[in-house]
Amino acid sequence: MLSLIFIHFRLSIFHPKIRITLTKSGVLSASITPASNFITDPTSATFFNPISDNPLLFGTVLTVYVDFQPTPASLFTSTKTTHRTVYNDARLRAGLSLTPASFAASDVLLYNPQNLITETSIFNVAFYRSLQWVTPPASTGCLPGVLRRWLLEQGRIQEDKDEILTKDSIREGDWVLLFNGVQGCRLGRIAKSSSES
Amino acid sequence: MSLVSEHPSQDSSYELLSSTRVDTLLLSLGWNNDRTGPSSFMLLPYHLDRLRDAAEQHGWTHAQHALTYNAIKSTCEAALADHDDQNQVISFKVTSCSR
Repeated sequence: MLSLIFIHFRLSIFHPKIRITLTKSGVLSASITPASNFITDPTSATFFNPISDNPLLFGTVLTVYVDFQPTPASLFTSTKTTHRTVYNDARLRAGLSLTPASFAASDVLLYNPQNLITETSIFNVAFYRSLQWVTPPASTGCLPGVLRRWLLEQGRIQEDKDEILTKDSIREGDWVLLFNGVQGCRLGRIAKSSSES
Repeated sequence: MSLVSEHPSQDSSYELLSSTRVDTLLLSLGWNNDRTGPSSFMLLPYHLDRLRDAAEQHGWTHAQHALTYNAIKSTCEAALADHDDQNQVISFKVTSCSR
């Protein structure tokens, strides 16, 4: 008896990032780049309590440096576009490159001319204050990201209505919740700024 | 919010952007369902809303009209299909005889 066995190996990445773009004339496009797969609910890091919990339960902790120049709010911070000069400049000021390996390990925390924290180069942020995660309001000029919206709707994070998240309030060693529509929620920790070392 | 004017609507050298991901694990998370049920695209309806808002803020009226959920989902599915076609490289055919 002849039996046939077919084995298919698909080399494609099964959990890719999809970059959707829209031109002024209305052309939608999408491109694919590799990403690591989720192994748990990507929003679970919102349950991290810095006082009692082991951060390693939620994956690799990113190192986050605080920028030392303010980034003014603009249409290019409050909406997401391919024009990313301010974010790239902030990374370079912090001594971070624009390679995938650098993005996976570290980021830079931006603030506006009013000294209010806004976001990092690729994540929205929240800080653990009075037993809850507090995120900068959109009025700071931060990008109102898709996962930020979902986390607010679910009550996992709260908007900073009292402007407590100033640049001066951020301390070395602070935990920061990082979130975007590709990676979900990650944990980061504030490091000593390279400009201060 | 006071915005710094960079005259974006007169500069067509940039595009609006939204980045999502596809992951089969999302099919098992009810919070990620879209109106048709489980979806492997993360929060795709929210990406549509975000792009619509951005198009409005940039004054891109024409682009706004191109934005429907079906359009954005089919664009993502087409990109995935293209990607898979390019990467289905190895196909083994193993034949055995048993007597």
